[in-house]
Amino acid sequence: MTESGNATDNRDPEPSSVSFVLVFSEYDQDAPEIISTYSDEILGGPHEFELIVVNNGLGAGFNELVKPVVRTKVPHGQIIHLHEAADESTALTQGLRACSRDIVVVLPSYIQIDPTAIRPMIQQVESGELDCVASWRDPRCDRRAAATTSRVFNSLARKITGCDLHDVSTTLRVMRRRIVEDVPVYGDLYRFLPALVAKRGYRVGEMKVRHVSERVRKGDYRMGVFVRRLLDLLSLFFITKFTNKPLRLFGLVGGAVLIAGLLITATTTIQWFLGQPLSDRPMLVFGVVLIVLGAQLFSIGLIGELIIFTHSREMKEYHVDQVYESRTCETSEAIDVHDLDDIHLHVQTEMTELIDP
Amino acid sequence: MIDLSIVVPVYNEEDNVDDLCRRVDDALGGLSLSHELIIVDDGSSDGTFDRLRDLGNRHSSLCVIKLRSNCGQTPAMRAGIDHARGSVIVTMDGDLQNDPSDIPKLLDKLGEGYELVAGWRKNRQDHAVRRNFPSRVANWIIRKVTGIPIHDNGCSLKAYRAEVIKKTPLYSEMHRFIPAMITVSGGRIAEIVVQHHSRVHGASKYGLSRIWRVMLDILTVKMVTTFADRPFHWFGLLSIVPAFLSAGFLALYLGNILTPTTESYGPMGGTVALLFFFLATNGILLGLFAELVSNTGKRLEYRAQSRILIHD
Repeated sequence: MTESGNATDNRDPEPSSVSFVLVFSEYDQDAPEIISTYSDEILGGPHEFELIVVNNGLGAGFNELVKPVVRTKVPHGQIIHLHEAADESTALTQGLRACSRDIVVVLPSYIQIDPTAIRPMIQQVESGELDCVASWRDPRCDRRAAATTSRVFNSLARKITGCDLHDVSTTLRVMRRRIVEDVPVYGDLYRFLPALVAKRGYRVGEMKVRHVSERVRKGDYRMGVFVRRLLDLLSLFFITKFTNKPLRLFGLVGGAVLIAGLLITATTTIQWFLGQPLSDRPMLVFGVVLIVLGAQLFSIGLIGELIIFTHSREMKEYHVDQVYESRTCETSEAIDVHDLDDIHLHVQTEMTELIDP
Repeated sequence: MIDLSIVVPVYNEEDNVDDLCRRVDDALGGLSLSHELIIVDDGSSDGTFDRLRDLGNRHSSLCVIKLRSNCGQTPAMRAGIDHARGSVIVTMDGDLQNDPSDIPKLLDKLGEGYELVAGWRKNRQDHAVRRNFPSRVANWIIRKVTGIPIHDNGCSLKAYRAEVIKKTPLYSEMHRFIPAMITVSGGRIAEIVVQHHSRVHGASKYGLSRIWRVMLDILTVKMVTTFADRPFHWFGLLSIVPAFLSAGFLALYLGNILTPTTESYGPMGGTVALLFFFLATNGILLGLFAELVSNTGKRLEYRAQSRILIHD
């Protein structure tokens, strides 16, 4: 009997090697300082590490700004320079793809959280206790309004995902690299990665960290952000519950609307036969609109099923953890393969600079 | 390549897995087939996996696939089938309600030249009202809708040719509709009566709530098995009726407003004409959209076949 491919059992006495990803989407004169703060903190610990800086459309000048500090402070450094500014999660995906170490840490692009929290979080993943650790900013130091909307948003996200995490939109996260390869994420879904990861059976936890500062990005108007977050939640709801069975949702809603429409129309028709004129009754129009709407919803569900069917052989609905074989004594790596390269083709990675001292 | 793979998805069946292995061994002992038993642990929360690991040390041809979370019966089955190396694959339930001693019968039937042999639990040992009756109704509907004369689509005990089942779309909760999916690719199907025992250990994982889900699934299966190759054709046909009705009511409406009479059903005619007009346009647009979907995806390119070599 052989045991194979269980990443969680690798309890190395040696400290693991860690990849750090740092995405800069705004030109920040303090970037070298930030990098140096982080790397000082990590250099103080036992971990061997690499740093991947993503220059999210900030131009070649930013590379020059960052290069000296990466060269002096970091054992293995890399700048990924995106030609054009992409949204945050796309830029992050590019950075994550470049990671080569066992443990991946996503860092906030400014000192948002007390950096001393990073090492304990890494240790939690290293010890095999958890596969993914999210930070939980508590108590928060931003304005009360922001903290309140955030609380509402977080509790909604908890309800929808069924995953008991308190701080959904936090940046600082530590996880096994295998998760990055295993869980397909696109668009703003990255925000909900811990919840999606937990759904796949990985062990996910959180750790309270000290919130140092919160930077409101340019153009981050509160109402707009809140609406966008709600839309994110809606898509999360659909993705976690109905991706593989769209007709379950659309069929139910569409069927209900259709039946309501038919009932209303039937009632008005019967009343018409009984002598009540239809010309002054908007009820008929209402019923008709419901019928059309119901039929449309239902058929969209059918199209959804058609999409799932035509792609059914590319979908992997199961996630293998371990394979035990008594006969062959083969070991097999139990990793589901997802093609990460088919998403975000519009992002041109102009150059990847390897900075090794 | 070996002769036979037996795929069994299990979920929280710690009391049954020992018996399961023993009975499979007994059933296959008399046959001279190389076989493997693939048990897929679908994220059990009880001691199922530990039991299976112990079994692995005693049992010579056991393969255990542990899924990281509870993915559902169909995906678990898919995991086992993807992993199987046999030229024939038999699937069955892990709750011991199917009897492994039926496997040789299934294999004999498969050898007569079928792609799928399904089991029929003619004498079913489950709760009459909660399980058997809904199942009968569902099977009757499935028979009528798909036109495939199988009595017991829900029976997991089935034997397949590996090259066919490995290429059959199997996702969501489609394990009930494997016969329908296989006929699309031209597979020949047979059915034989198998034994059924009542549950000794553990609890059933099904409830009545699945009825409406099965109904929607039937609709889906009907659509994908008939429409998938040329959806516009079908959606277009469906739109013809509302299109004609729309034209008819429009004529009624126009006639009414052009020749004013005392009785006014013009507004009604106009509204109803609009209703059918929307339905028709909706159908045509969706048909075009479905065509797009079908064209960008991979089609069911596999067709069951036998090759006859004229010269040897």
